[in-house]
Amino acid sequence: MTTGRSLKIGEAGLGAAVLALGAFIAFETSQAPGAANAVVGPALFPYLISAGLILVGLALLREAVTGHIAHAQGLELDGTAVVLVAVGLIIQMLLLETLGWIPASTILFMVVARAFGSRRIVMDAILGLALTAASFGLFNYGLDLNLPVGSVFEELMAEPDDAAE
Amino acid sequence: METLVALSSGFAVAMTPYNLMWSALGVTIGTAIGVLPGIGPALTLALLLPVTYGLEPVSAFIMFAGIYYGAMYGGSTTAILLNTPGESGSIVTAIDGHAMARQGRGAQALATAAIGSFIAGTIATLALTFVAPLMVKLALLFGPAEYFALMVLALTTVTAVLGASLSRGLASLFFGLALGLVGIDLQTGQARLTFGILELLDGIDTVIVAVGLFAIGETLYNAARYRFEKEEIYALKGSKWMGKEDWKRSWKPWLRGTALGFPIGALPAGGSEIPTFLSYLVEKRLSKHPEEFGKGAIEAVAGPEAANNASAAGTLAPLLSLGLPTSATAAIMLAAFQQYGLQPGPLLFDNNPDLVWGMIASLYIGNALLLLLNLPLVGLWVKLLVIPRPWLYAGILVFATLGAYTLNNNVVDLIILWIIGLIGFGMRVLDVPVAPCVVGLILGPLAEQQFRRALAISQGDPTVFFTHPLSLGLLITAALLVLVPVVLKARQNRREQDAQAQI
Amino acid sequence: MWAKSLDISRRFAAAAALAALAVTASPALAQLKSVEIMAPANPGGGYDQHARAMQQVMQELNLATGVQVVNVPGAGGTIGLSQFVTGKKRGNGLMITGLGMIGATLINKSPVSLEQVTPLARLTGEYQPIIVSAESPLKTMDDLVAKFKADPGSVSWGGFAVGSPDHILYALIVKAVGGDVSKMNYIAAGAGGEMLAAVMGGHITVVTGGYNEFAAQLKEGKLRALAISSPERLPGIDVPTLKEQGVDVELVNWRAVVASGDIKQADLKTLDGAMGKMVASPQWKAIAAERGWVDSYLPAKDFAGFLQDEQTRIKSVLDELGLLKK
Repeated sequence: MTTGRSLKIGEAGLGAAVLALGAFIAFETSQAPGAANAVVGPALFPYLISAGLILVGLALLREAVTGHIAHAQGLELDGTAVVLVAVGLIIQMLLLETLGWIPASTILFMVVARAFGSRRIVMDAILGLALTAASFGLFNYGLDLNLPVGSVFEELMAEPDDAAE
Repeated sequence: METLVALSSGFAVAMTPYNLMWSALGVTIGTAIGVLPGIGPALTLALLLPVTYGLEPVSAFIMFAGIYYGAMYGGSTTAILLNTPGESGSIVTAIDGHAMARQGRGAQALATAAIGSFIAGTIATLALTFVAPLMVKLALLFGPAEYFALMVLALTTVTAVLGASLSRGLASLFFGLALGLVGIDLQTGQARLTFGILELLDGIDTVIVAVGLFAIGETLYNAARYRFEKEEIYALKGSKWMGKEDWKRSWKPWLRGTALGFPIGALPAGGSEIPTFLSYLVEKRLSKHPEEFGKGAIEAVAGPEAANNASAAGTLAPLLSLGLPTSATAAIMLAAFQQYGLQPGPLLFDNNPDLVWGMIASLYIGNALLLLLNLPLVGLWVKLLVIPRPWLYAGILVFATLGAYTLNNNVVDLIILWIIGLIGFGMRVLDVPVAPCVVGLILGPLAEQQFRRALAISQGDPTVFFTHPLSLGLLITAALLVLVPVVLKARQNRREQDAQAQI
Repeated sequence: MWAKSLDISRRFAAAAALAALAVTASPALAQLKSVEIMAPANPGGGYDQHARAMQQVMQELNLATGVQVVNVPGAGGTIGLSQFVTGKKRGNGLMITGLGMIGATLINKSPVSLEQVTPLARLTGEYQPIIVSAESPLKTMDDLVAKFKADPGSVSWGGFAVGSPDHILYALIVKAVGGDVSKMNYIAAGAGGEMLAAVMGGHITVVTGGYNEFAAQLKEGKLRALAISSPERLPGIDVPTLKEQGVDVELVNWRAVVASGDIKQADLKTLDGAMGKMVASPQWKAIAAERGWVDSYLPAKDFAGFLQDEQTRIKSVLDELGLLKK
């Protein structure tokens, strides 16, 4: 349960984050080498944008203190589900190039389904497998675009090839 | 008159059953592939170019025209149903289109997109037939100063998507502008905010940001809320046809979208995003229901979709009449011409009238075929939303990551997608609108480029923006678009106050 | 239907691979096993077109049992290069490269460079014309040089991106006529059509690029070529060279193919032979003619020397342009 109060903290956090981003961009820009012969260099727009961010950040901080908040009655959030989805995406990223598109994305499919309350693990796996295998087939064989097969499998397949040498 | 004769002989070429078959095939394949995430019209054409190797040039181009329009249309389907825009031209469509889909009006959103695309495509093809040389003459008047003014005008769109809180809307806009800074600065070759990561040198892809904010961010938010509030998603509520009210609210946006899309599409640096933004802005300003915008206003789908398709036809104007490829898609079309030893330009009309007019005629036919193909499918498409929630969202994430990965075949894009997705989730929780971010990301870098290019050419003289009449006119329009609503509102407030005071 | 025709090459490859497994391909046949060509760009671009042309011809000539094209776009080819160098490519991994990649690696401060690959063959080249609008008062290189000398800032030189072959060509010209490279008003005017429109509309003084990009507009008299960067006049193109007009510069925007850095000498030899056969084939020549690619084939050994010189030359130009600071 996220209350109005913690949302208010979140709001202040938003203001602080925007402010920090502005300051960061200004700092990074000041560190970059200037351009030799450009009339308007590569630094003008970053400075303008960072100034904008800083001003908006200040305004947001003021708002967080003085009143307006997004969901006044508070907003219930299921943290576990969010973490599950976010972790599912990370797993897919990590496994994509080693295990390949089909297994990595099937896992993503199952994890997201779980986050939305599905308990039918086998059914999730079958559906995920069907969807990812279909997309793999379409991309790799129909369109000649290469979704990753996975280095593990590539190596397995490479074995006889190398032996022939 | 001469044009009409040429066009009718073009129809004679295109209407043979054999060529009609290629047109139908092109439209079908184009739509099918255009629907896939991460594969926009340019890539679709590049992939299918080899298929046309064996064909006669006329048939090949007829098929090509079909693929082009089909792919343009396919992108809006995923934007509306899955909130996953496949290319930057359909980002705006996702905003209200997906909101409509959730309310059970997906069929109407798809229908207004299909009919709007058809009307825009047809009118724009007419314009291509008759006023292409004029358009091109106008396009050549646009230099960097004029482009900058146009970008400023398009930036005013942001006033239509800011949402209830000004500071939140501006925070989103500036965040988008900041994201737009990432990458190599074209004018000096200097890397900005890339932290030594090679993959960031080309900047952050707009489609990744849009998919991250829209699809991933929203999935995370819905996952967080799923246990507490079963939000109602209707596949279909009521009729699947557009009602009288829908027609009434759609036809003007179709026409206005077309009027914006074609000329801006014909500009060498116009693109498809600017007309869709401007169309959204214009519709919101003119609408009797501005409060519905962002929550599923049909005008906000009808206008931008028409603008998107009309701009596609617009890019063909400089391509056919001058041989200028002004978009990635047009560049591939040019390669296709060259594959047959043809060079687009005025001479093409003289040397290969059959081919050019056959192709233009097939654009009309392809448009009609697209409508015939897509309207009946509308009812089928919306069934996607009947899929149980866990699988629907799981599928959306698989699709979104598929699209992000295939853009560059690079895992780094998935990491960016993840980060943007989490930010999108945070924005949704804190009620920060995501649309201004996308507007800033797309227009910021374009505006900066043109601004600096203009000043470099003028050797630092800033008056170029005001001494060029076109540029001055566009800037004044932009200023009016921002100021007039503010003044009107202030006046209305005062009148209300006066009225209250009198009582 | 469509999928089928796309699939033919694959099927053919699969069949050929099976046959090869059965017979066990011997090196004496000089037929390569599966070759993977990386195009460090999106489908449709120059690098990609070369990769796909190679794929087509190598398969038609039976030079390899299977040829695959992989697109790795980004940062002027630098991302493709870094994946090519760091990825553990088995066997016959090839990559398309070109003049533009040298500049891109230097400007992007890429951690990997073309030193880390094995030059295999230079394939094609494009000479670059110096283009002005038909209405421009400039008629010859002399006019352009005089205008630049009178007021360097008044000449806006349009090209693709900073450090691109376009930029380098201009810098070489300005240097050759004794001008100050740092005063050159270079405008990164974007790709293809956008740049063409800018010069046609009179917004930019001169532009350059591959001759083919301008061929149609030159023929129609909408644009004028002041000079071309070839060593001597090209057949069928009535444009004087830079050298003829007293500007001692020549530049070819070449495209080439490289192999992985740790390739075995024997494999390199086989590949070198295969490339020689490929460029000599009528199929390759037909594709090149269609696309306007000038044959500038150099075998592995000559190309290695050329690449070395070219890298030195580009580096010193970019240095003078002040693009290699920090």
